[in-house]
Amino acid sequence: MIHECLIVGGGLAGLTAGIRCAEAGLKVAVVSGGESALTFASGSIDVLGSIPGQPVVRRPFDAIDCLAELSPGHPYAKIGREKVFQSLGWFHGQMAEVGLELGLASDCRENQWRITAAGSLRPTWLSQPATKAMPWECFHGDGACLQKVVFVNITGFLDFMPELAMCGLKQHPSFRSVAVEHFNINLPLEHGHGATADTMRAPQLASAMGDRDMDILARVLSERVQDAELVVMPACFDPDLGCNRLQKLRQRTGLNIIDIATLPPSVHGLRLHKALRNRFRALGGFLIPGTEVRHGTVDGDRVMSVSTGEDLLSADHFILASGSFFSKGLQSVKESMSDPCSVQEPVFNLDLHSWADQPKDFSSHQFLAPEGQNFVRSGVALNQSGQPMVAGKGLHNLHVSGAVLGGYDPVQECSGGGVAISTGWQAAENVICQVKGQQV
Amino acid sequence: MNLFSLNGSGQNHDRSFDRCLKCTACSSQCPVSLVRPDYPGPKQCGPDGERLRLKSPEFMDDALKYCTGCKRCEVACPSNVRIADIIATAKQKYGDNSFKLREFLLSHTDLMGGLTRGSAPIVNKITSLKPTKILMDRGLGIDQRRSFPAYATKSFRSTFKSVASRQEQHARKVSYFHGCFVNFNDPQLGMDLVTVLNAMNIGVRLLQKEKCCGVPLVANGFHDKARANAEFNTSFCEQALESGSERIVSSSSSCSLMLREDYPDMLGVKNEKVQSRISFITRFLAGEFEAGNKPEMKPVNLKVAYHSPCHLIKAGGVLHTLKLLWDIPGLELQQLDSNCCGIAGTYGFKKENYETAQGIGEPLFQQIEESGCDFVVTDCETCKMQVEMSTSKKVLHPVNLLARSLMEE
Ligand SMILES: Cc1cc2nc3c(=O)[nH]c(=O)nc-3n(C[C@H](O)[C@H](O)[C@H](O)COP(=O)(O)OP(=O)(O)OC[C@H]3O[C@@H](n4cnc5c(N)ncnc54)[C@H](O)[C@@H]3O)c2cc1C
Ligand code: SF4
Ligand code: SF4
Repeated sequence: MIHECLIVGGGLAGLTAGIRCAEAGLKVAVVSGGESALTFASGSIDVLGSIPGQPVVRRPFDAIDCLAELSPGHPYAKIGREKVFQSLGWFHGQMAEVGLELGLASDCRENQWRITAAGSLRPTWLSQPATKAMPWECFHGDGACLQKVVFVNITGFLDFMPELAMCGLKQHPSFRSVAVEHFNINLPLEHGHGATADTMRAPQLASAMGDRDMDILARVLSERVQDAELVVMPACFDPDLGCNRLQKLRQRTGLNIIDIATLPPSVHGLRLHKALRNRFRALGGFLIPGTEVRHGTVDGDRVMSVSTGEDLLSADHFILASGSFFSKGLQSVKESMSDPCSVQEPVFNLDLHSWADQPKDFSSHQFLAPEGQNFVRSGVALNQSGQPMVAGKGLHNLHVSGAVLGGYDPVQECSGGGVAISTGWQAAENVICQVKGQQV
Repeated sequence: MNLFSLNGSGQNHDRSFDRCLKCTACSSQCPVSLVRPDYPGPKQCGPDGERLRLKSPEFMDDALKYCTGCKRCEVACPSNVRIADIIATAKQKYGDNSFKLREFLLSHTDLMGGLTRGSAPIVNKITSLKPTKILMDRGLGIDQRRSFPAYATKSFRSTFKSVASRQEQHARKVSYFHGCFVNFNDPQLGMDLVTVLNAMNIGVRLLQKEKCCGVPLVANGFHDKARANAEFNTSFCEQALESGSERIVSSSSSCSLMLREDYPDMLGVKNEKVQSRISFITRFLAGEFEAGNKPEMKPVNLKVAYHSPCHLIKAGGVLHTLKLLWDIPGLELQQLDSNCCGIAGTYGFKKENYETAQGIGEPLFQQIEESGCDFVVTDCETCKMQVEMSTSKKVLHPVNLLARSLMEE
């Protein structure tokens, strides 16, 4: 059987593209090598939170016009404001189909705030049900809608650091007058087989907790927290798709409790990946794990097949969604210390966004440099018609999406999830359009 | 770069832990650490622990025994750290290596199978009796809730004799490493494999002799025995290839991973003369189909759910099985979410692991029951045992399905 569409990479972009193709009735398979960025991500979907030289973005879709003018090579510029909105709305619905109710602001074109484990506030668009992002007005300007926030950790758990989060939050202008406190709760960990939280990662902690632990949490929280409007805990409650245990805890204590992603592995990120897989399978898509594509064969303006080194995989269309450096979608090569870093897309050797070739421009020594890191912006470039190129020549049946694309900075812009979803959706739309066009 | 180097005693010493980036990707995928949070997970037990164990064996953590060797951590690792191999080697090097009867019985699958020859119905009856189960449970620590695979009345090797001579009519020939399970428990799978290959005009030979591939031996700490078997099997594979077989095929995903990759990597047994010509059967068949050698197939009007075994994922072989299943006309194929079934060879038979094994498999069992399928399809014999024991469904091998699509109605 020849697939109508073969997708390389099973992260957020690849599976989004796969779901859209399968929904349109195409025969589609996703080939994926290893873990995706979602294992490390917060599970919230950021669309656009920051444009250089502008105030923090409240209405991300409206801001895309401005962004497109400033950087015409940005992936959003190619798709356009309304289609980005359409694709993300569609994504929200797809996740709801498999029981993952991602949270929107009451005005669905607005951002909301999410608190990170390091205690910073980031503008995001969709939040995990348990994380319950806060409305924009909450932290706008100097005031905050809260008087008191309490961080609560499970005694011994090392991947969530309330002291750090507290210090971070206090630096935010709107938190100056907010009281921020923290304490730990000691739990027996009913299903932990005697192990203590200090040896566990968040997903393990989630499975170690039993009803007895939830009882203790409910009792201690009710006793110790009376006047806080917000209680922040590590995401370690519900390893599955719903947020039942946390919801119950909220009901029992009457407190506004949220849980936020810890150091990886992230329970929320893994949940999002599971929801994507479930939806893709339910629509009849196939996911081929543990299989890495080594290179692609190009003939003229078409990709003929991709190869794993041993096997050839043929398809009418291909979508490359292989992620950034960590996922091996991009590779950096440095022959010697004095040479500049060069970046490659290893499967097709696609043309990349150019950036100044001075080595110092590749990265800044300041890890969280305000202007961002240049290497983050490197990645695949698309031509006027949105096609990837090999040596300047556009490819018809290859579509590229997600973090392997260049010309944007997910970290600095707060745009990683939105770019992955909208470009994945757009890639699928291109394929659907061409396949259906041929059928007519 | 070869990160394994042999030390004086012939054991592998792995330095791949040096490549660990501390990213925790491995820990996100370990099925054991979720069900047993007292198992510290692959990062801690593998690369982190190895650093300490090199300083002093006192850092050996008893919890390493809970690792099933599923290798899901290795699939997740972006840096090719051989996490599961590091753990397996550490268990052997620093663990309790005193002789244990239970481990001996569970791991010597060829010996146990051989002893049942001629007495299979009696043995099946005995192992399924309540008192025997209680005895095995109390005396040996083999969990009484576990059902034992039934032994066949006639082994595959003797059943094969009836078709052996006509194999030589085919110009092309492959040699089949059938393994213990096909020989003693599921000769039908072996015969189906012969039927399918013959329909593609390929003759099947057996190795002149074969012993257990060694997977259960390694898992139970009998490394020296495993190494001896590896040398034995490798030499008979060499002999088969020298005498006209173009390939060695195996219908077990675990046996083939062992024969091909783990002999040199984990046991230090050189197999470079045969390595590239050992294939898991679906890899071989998918290649033949691709090249145009596809038998004529009739529709198989069944609804099946495919479960991918951990070791097949690790070997990058899911693609080949899916390619074959996609090609069977009429088949309604559904893919199950990748989830370890929990049995991990002999692991789940041990009393102390029973709950863990069933806990790991639970999400899979639930999916299977909800799928509404007629059959589950999978490539691994122990996955088959586990799924048949834990769900209401029967399990077929992809080769069984292919044979069905050939047979006259
Ligand atoms: C630590 C971290 C935190 C983040 N937090 C957030 C957040 O809170 N909100 C947000 O919106 N965004 C966040 N992002 C960004 C966002 O998650 C990513 O931009 C997005 O998930 C990228 O998705 P992708 O599918 O393009 O790539 P990836 O998720 O990297 O997936 C690529 C996949 O392709 C596979 N692959 C690569 N090469 C091959 C090959 N040759 N053959 C087969 N398979 C291959 C890889 O194994 C991988 O599974 C975060 C990113 C990181 C790294
Ligand atoms: S081999 Fe399997 S059980 Fe062992 S550490 Fe790796 S993932 Fe966990
Ligand atoms: S996945 Fe690999 S690199 Fe990452 S922590 Fe585990 S062993 Fe280390």
